[in-house]
Amino acid sequence: MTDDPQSHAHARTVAELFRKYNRSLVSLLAARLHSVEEAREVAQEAYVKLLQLDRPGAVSLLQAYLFRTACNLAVDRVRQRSTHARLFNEHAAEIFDEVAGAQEAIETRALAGEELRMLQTSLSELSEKCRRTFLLYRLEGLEQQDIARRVGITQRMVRYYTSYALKYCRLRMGGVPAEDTRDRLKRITKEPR
Amino acid sequence: MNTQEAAMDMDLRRIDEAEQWMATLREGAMDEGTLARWLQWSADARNLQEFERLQQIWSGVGQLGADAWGASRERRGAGRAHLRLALAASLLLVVGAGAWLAWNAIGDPNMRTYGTAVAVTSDIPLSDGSRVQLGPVSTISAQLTEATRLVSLDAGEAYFDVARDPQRPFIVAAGEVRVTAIGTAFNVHKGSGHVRVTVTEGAIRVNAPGNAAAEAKAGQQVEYALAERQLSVSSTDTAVATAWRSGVLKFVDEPLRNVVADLNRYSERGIVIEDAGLEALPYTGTVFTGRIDQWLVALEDAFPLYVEDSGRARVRLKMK
Repeated sequence: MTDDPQSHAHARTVAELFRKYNRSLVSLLAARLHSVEEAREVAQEAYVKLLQLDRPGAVSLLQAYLFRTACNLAVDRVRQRSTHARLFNEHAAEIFDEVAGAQEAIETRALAGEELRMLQTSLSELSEKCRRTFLLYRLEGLEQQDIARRVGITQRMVRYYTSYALKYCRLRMGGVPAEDTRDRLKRITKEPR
Repeated sequence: MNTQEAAMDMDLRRIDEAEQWMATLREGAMDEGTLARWLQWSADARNLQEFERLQQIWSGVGQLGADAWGASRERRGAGRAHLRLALAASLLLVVGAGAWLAWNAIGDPNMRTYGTAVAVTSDIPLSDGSRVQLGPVSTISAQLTEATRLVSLDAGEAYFDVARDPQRPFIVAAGEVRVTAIGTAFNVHKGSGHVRVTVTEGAIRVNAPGNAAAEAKAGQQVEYALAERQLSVSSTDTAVATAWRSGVLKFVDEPLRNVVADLNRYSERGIVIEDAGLEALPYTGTVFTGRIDQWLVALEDAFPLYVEDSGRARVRLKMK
């Protein structure tokens, strides 16, 4: 990058984008990558790409470009990861579980000891089917249709249970009593028939 | 509703929205519209904070890993199958004639019986590496020894993916019919008047009373009619017979009574054909097992019948 006023102005624009949208961008990426740590790395890559643009456009265009670039980088990363996952699975499926667990543990802003115990309690309060569906989805990374078959429920129920489980844990960890949590969730979501 | 409750509902709505966003971002395509809506939604700091909170819990479940399963951990992989030895013993008594003497080993410690409830399917791994996918309201008893592998389909339907082992034949008994697998995958459907075996891989041999025997390979179907005591082999689209494995039932010129019998294994509410004249009507089509109610509505257009649905445990099909 050359040291001319134009590029300085561009760097300021990028810095402004960072301040304004970084949380939103990292959140979006974290959802796609299942890891806040990786989300931050990908976001950073995207900012670097943005800085390297030869002829940067208006701020609104840059913002779209930033998110678009970051999403593409996230897709690449998931692809690389799935190749790794396949190799691991072929050679040592049981070890991979532990590796995946260890990778999750390095996430920043991770839940601490007492919070984790509360989360475990919340999960144990869910119905067997709901917990199983949620964990097959979250931990085993199964497709919705595979979970539906394994648990013996419709795909719509899979979506309902995964959503319910997360919201249930959220409310319980926010200090809402178990019975209250169930009542409140009943108010916003209906079980599909 | 007082102010406090209103505030709680607002939080609840935000949590709900945040969860929906998580699902969308996790799996949905990132088109411009989605991106624009996300930017708009996440521009509200309270929304974004809620999203991060859910993200944190989502990650927390990953941190817990295997511990998240808690007490239910040992049930992983076991599916919903459960032991029903007493039932197996009584069913086996019905089987015990001639070639089926091998099945008289009641109380054998090698015997395992698995069953499923209405609308439930289950994956069952057998100790030899074979896998059985059990349809709803179906029961199998498996007896695996050093010399043989015997499975009895006592009721319903099952798909067998058989591990190769030339030294130990894999035999499935379904009523009067006996299917011998030759390194293979196949579906066995046991109806009230027939046993239907559909081969998706490899080859099988089917034996029935009176020295009746037939061989079939991938892409073929063997049907045994209980009334005629006859075996017939035909070419078939195996996707039709195995569609149930992905939550869909497919029928080609199937008498309505058979269709209804199958659907009743998927529906908590029983469907009853009231008029005998409807039973033999040939049905061709697809039924999503999660949408049987919608199917019933459509049925009124296809056949001269009406559906009497009083909202109770049974739905009745009557002639128009």
